[in-house]
Amino acid sequence: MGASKLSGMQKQVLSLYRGFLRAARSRPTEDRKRIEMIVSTEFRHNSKEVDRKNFQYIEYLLRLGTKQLDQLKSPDIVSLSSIKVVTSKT
Amino acid sequence: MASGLIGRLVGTKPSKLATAARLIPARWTSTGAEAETKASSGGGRGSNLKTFQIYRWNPDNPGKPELKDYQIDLKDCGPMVLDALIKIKNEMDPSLTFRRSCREGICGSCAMNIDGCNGLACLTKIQDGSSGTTITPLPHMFVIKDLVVDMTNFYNQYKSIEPWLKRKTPASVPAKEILQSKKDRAKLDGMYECILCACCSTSCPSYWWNPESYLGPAALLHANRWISDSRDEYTKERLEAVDDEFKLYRCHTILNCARACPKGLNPGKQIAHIKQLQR
Repeated sequence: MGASKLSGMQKQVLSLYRGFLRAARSRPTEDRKRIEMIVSTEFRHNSKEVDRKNFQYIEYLLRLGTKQLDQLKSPDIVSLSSIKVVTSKT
Repeated sequence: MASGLIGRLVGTKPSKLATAARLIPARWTSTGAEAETKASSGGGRGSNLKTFQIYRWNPDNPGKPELKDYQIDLKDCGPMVLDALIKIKNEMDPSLTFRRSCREGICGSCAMNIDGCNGLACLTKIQDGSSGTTITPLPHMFVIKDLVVDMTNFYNQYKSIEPWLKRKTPASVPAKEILQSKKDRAKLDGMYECILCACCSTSCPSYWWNPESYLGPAALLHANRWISDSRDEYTKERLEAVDDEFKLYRCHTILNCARACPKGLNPGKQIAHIKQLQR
């Protein structure tokens, strides 16, 4: 029952997502909801847009996410916010 | 750059001043006047074209990385690879991304792989001739964009060897410098000049296969710099910290590091010194 065996990369993505949610748990409720909203929209957007075979880009996003997670875990960081940027494909 | 200024002067000032303005660049630099004539002739008269194949990958439009061709007139460009890269970025493709700072080989920002050899772009002369030059980022490093690589692992390894003076006893004259003889200071020559450009570490095949566990020639060179420093009192602890199957002994004296170093240092020799001290 359930999904077929997950690949190593898929497991990494899921553990990163879990890491973000755990980091959000240690924050006050207001911040926690905002972090969860940003992280879940980002992950869902990328899962739809990014090709499953594009390993280089997925690894790049994983490394970026791990760095952001390490920053978020630090007690000096107050909150997480995101801006929508429209990139012109020139 | 000078030709751009000429264009603006000619466009805005009255014709009387325009002729004077056209005389000025001839006095400033000869290349400015040459650039004008070259622009008018269309690069026909004695132009020395060279093709640069540059690794491109954009995380905003991610696809497969590719080698893009750019043609540069060497007569119109400085002698170093960095001059060519800046010229391409200014005139042909502003999206080309690379690190650079001092343009004189002291900061180590512009380290990249030029024609298969690691080096600093600001110190590597463009090879004269019609054959193209291939410019790629430092090998076996994660690419952030075009020629910019992720150096965090490299810097963390440097941090891990604790590259600062550590003492158990206070200085003999408190609040004054800790004295060191000239002979002891001479022991540090060949190690203190390292600019942490990462050319050596990224040329080491052993570092390619074990980047997380092997410290790499640059970090080990600095480890030896602090081990050999007569003022440092934690020598034994430093040696024990490095004495590890992976951290130190992944070095198999391949000596690509000494070949790649743009400052002419020999990290392999310093690593051999550490191995010798380990008993």
